Amino acid sequence: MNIATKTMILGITAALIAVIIAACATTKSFPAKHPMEVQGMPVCSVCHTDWRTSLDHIQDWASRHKFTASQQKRTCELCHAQSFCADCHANKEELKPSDKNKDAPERTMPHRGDYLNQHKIDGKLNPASCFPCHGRQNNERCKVCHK
Amino acid sequence: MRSLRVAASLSILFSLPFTASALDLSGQSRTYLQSRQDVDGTRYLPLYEYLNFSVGDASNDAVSFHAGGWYRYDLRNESFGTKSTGDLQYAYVTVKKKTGNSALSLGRLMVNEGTVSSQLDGIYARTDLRGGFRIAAYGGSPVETSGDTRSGDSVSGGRLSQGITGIYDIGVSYLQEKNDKQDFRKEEGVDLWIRPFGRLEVLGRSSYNDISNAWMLHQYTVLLGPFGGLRMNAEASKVYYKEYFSATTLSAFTFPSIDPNETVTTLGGSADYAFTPTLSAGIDFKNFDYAVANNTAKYYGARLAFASAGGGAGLAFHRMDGPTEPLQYDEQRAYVMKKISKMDLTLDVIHVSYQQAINNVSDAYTGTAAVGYALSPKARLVADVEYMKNPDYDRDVRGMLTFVYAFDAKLGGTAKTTQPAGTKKSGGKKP
Repeated sequence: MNIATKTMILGITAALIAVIIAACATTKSFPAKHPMEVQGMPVCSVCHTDWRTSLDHIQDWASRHKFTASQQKRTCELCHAQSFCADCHANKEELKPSDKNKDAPERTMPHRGDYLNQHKIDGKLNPASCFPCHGRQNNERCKVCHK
Repeated sequence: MRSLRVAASLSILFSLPFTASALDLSGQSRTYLQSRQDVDGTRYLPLYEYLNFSVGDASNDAVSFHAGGWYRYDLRNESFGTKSTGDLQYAYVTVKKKTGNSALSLGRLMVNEGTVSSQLDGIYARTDLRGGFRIAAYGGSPVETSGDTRSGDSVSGGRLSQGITGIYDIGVSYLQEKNDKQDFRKEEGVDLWIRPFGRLEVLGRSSYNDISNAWMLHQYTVLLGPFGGLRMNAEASKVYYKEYFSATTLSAFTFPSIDPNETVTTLGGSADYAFTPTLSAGIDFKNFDYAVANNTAKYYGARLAFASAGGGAGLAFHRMDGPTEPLQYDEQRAYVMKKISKMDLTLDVIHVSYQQAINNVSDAYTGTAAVGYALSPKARLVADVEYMKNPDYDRDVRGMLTFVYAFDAKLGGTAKTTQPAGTKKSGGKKP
């Protein structure tokens, strides 16, 4: 039995254990969908006054949504289907997210305009900002120059 | 081989029992026809189709299948060296319980757990436990750009957290990834979200490289507000290049493109003030401190935004003040959008002024105009034109036609109940 198989079995076992343990949890699951339809960039504080005000999709949301997604993706799933995330976070992509959203200029989209030149500057100053999306994924086009 | 695996996975997924009497199908098709040219003047006319859909158990939403992907066919010349290509972005079946937020997913999926964000072909499970504890685990084959085959590749890990809703959530996570049966990544992490007072939140994470036995990253943000219309945040991060970039498939993150011994400390913050529910202004600042290079860079600017149901506008000025002239630029952006009945118009202009000319050009301009029209509540057509003048192009004109169509249907069972006029409908998901 090779290591990959062992890892797969380990993962499946852990997952099954987690599901079994779920029998202990008695809290009601989140609803599948947000009870009200939200248009545009949602400002949760219009209705909520508790911790959910921090989910307001205001100016700095694009830079900090990673924290919410990694801790409580189930909250994101109330309003967003997986395709919404996949539009930017993809293994292979040819159309820039900003190209697909030219009619939504209010959304903070990476690489608007001529990023071919600007990436040479930003990449030197802050390569860590490139890494989450292009470090191991979505870098086939980068390899044309970065061989 | 990869296609066979994907096909086999899909077959397994579709063979799983959907036991309900009726299934809801919903999804979206987006078709893009783009016209663009290369630096050598070669024009391309790629046609893209992005399709995503979900099939769910209409009776209790317990079992659902989700898939999304895209395909490109070139009508003129070959973009990126191939006439056609595509990608299966995700395809998984999910089983959810009504209690404990328990979920089990199988297929190609994206896992976001603590310090881990990874796409994989495999299995993922999560559940709430008693005492505010939560657990998640996953395992499978990583989906990444790679120069070799996927044979011997594997990824597994999980996250355990504990918290009180609305007050705090602290988690620890682990990931192990192997490439050709050899350790590629072994990472541990801590993540937290704390809200000790009503107007103060601390959120962040730290990652540890278990192969080199050193920290990779610390990244923390403090949110303050709202105090009336004022919101502020402060952020601090530290990135250790050698450890953070150790597992990459791109040479840009290795020597000599970067100095692996570099450590960058970032401190920054922003303040936004909402004059009215539709009008806000803000300032932001970020300082990069390089330990090895022993210099700094500063990025700062201001912005003004207006957003209403009938349209919006924005204005932003920023400067990147790098340690040397080639790493300095000023950026200005202005946009306006207006809805007129079923039509919407957008204008977006970006100007970048480089401190040191690139290819003897100091200014880059991008202007975009887009017109959208709602053909029906489910269909939308967008036409846009983009004009660019920059160090690579004297004049670059690109255009794109976009057709978006949302669909839904009930498969089997009784007809769908229509929503009575005037009532608020349950929120749909943004695809």
